[in-house]
Amino acid sequence: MNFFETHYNGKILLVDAAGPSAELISLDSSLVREYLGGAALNRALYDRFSDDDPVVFGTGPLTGSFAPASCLLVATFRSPFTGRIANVPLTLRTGPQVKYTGFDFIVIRRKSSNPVVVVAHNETVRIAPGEAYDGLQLSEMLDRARREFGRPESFVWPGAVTPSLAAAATGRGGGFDRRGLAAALTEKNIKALFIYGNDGLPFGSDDLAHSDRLIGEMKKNLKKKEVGFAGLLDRIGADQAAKVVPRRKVRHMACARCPVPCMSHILVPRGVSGTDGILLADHLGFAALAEHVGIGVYRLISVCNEAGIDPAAVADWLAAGVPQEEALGFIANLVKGKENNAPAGNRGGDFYGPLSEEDCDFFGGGLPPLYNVADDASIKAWKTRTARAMILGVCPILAARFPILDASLPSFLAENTAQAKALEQTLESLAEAVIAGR
Amino acid sequence: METTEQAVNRINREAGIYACVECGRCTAVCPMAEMYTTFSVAMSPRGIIKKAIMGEDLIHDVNLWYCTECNAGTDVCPQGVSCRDLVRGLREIAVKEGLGDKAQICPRCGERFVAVPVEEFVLSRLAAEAHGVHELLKVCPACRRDLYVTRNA
Amino acid sequence: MSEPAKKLDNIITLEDLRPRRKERFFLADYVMPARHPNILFDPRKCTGCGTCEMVCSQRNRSVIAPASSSIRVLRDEENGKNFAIYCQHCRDPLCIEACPTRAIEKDENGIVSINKLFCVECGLCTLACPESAPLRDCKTGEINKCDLCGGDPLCVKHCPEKALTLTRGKFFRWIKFARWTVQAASFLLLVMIFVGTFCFFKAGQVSFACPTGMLQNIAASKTIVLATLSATLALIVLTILLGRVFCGWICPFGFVLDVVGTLIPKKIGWPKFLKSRLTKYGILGGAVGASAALGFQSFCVVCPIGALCRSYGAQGFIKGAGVAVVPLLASTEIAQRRAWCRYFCPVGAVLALLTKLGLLKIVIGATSCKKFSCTQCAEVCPMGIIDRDLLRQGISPKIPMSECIMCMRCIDRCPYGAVKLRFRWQKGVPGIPGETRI
Repeated sequence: MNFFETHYNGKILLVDAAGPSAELISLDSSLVREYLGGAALNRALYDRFSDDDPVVFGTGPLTGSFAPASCLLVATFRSPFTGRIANVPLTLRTGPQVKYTGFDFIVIRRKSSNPVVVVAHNETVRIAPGEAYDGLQLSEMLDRARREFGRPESFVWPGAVTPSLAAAATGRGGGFDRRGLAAALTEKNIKALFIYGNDGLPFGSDDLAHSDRLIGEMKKNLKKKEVGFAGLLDRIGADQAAKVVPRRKVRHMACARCPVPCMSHILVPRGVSGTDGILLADHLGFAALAEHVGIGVYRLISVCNEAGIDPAAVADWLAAGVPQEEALGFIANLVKGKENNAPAGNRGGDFYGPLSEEDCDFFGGGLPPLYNVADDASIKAWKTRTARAMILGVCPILAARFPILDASLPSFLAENTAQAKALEQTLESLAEAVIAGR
Repeated sequence: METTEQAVNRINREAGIYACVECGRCTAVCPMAEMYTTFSVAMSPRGIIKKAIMGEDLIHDVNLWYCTECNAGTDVCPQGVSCRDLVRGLREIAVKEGLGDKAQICPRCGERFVAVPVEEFVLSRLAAEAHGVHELLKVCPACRRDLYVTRNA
Repeated sequence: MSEPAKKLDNIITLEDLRPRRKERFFLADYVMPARHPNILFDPRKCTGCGTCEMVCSQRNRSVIAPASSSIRVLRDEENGKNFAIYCQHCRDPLCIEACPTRAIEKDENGIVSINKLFCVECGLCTLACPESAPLRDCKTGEINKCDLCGGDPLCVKHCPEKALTLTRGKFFRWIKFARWTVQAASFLLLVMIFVGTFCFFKAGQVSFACPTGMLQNIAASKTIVLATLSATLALIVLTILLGRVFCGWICPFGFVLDVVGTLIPKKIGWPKFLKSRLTKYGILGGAVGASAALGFQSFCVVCPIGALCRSYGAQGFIKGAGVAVVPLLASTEIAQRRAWCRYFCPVGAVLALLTKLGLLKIVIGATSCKKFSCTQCAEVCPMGIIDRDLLRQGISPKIPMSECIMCMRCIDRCPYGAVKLRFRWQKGVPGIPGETRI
């Protein structure tokens, strides 16, 4: 297997927040051979630094390559909510940007005494004072970062408010964090993580043609109404939510190299949402809110995204009988830093059906469950595909939705059939370990 | 905090000017000779480097502001002297000292992106264009792209 | 502190030897507008996945590094806009003008490319381009600019959403033929067959009258006859439905002007003090006032349209003095196209007032518009109402329908179908209103 040379930079960035200091350590090829990357290798790195309570950001071997939907960055950390080790998938451009910055994995360990901002740029890392970022809302934070660090391409932001309610965001639409990545970063006093770089990543000669063929087949299987945010809401059976999302005159947004956009930017009247347009990215959070408030979801979700609050937590308040206006009041108080008596959400949601709390750990509890609830085999297949995607660095939503994509991912790494077979075996055992949280 | 003199010395060292053998290659390839009819020794990279070596005050010198910060001179120098880094560094010091009246500031983001004489050269080349275009060209490239998006997407 | 040396006048720079574009003096010099290949971008389809950047950079630098590509996707999550910045291969490239080493050239296929042998990476092309399409590679310092991959662009080939397309623009321009046919036919009808019928014509119950003549008539006779009012209805209805179609397609004097204008393409320019489009309303008012004072239709004596209509046949040339006004006014075509229609014609003035009730509008700058790189619409407009300066700044100019003679030359000429006929209430062009200023 030669993919170590072509798919990794071979560098791990080790940030010691307590110093603050940073060092580069090399990524062993033996480690890559054993764990491949992503969630599995993250776990190995977590175990290596487990005394320092690290947060590990890791790319997979396919992240940033020509493979379809190769956008994933996986964060592995001990969840402050459950105490177990959890993975959170981070999408948009964070994954590829880590590779373009010249790293493969970023380990942040120990705690900083002052608020800091970590800026990874072109094989260098800067740990800047982050007092000014304290309590900023998302757009203020981005404006400031633009002025200070010059248009960072991607970021991980733990939110402006109480960590127990926050969800880490990678874009204006939020993220897939339901296991407290935001809380873990806030514990380390990290106000934001910016990643942007100009480096390049080598690629295989027939990667592009292979990937294009695959994209063609995926598009063939895709009906037009399945595209976009509303299409995915349909698939997970969130009818109430799908009803309030328009299907026409909507701009679809995709993560890096993703052929099937699952995010949508929609224009809603100012009276309904409080903004002119809103980017929808967090399917479960939106669905959970829409169950309770219908069209009022836009106002709530735009406020949540701005403040970095998990919409599912707000949905839990609403389920507990808090009226919508009061929920908005809680959020407003949170943002202003005032005391609040908002009930803490447990972020359950009944979308996962037969999956238990422990089951949700390996994918951060944020991914849309694209399976048939009544069918055990389909649940198992979904879990396996999600785990495989989280190891290889491909969007788990797309891998779970398109079996053909999942099946052909190893062919981007293996040179011949013997290698592919060995890779499949490794992948199978690693996926099992990831699902079991080992 | 380093003083201006220290900063100038640091820039001089980093640009490697003390290795200069005055071969004049940088001046031979310098695009400024094409750009300005007033091109002179004082303005040329060779002249600038010489002044820097002699310890003359370049920060207050008008000739510092004609360079486009291109790669030509740095590319051909046999001694590895970077006239580009020298000029860029000295300009940054000048701006910090409040002498940046020759630096064009983007009205949108407030970033220094080009020297006024260079911009004047570009505008003179595009003299046939109307006033509106000239106003547009005073915005820094990154902001101009953003502006184009808000106008067209 | 030393001042720059004095200017030397006798130095010949290579600049003086640069070939300039030839001006066109006679019809014989006319060349068919070249149909050069160009990339079209549809922001409505773009999802911002960045595949174009990836495939482009692997051509520039042999690695996947979006920062080194010649195309840049700007993603605005706030407004839901994705936009690709790439070289438009202008007809009049500003970068060529600005390049001090003449490293940029436009070849016979219309492809503007940077010759890396001569490029010193000064970045002046980036400064000169209205869109800043030449992009600086932050890693190597090189300036990258699209060269259409020699005619088969990779970004177009690999775009999963087909948001980028390669086009040479449309080939057949049928409106031109239709308009010349209609103009010639109506000239024949109004001047040679129904001599004098345009001004007033009555056959039994059917009557037709020129609205300007009718206004003067009312003023002169100080009585309103319902029959003459209804006689002008035909032109009024036509103008409200289709705009000033009469001026562009039917008016016999307009036809004469167009013919003269086509024979003499070179214009000497119109004196500035006569450049007020309000003059024609003044002439209209003056004509009506004079008619009231003098008791006869005063303008009709010198009206070129009327003179032309009455000129044919035995009795026509007797009024030699009246007909002399036609060649006299047609000679203004040497100075500026349709100068009479722009500034003086009171018939057009009445129709212009009627277009305030019009149903149609012409929209320039739909999503496929090339703005600054093309400006062909501004070039062909005989009324000079398309603001080239605005197009050069990337702003969609608004067409004042009262000045538009509906000749549809802009629609015909636009190679990319970006000029459209729309109803007044339909949506206009993209862009955030109010945010177009610097």
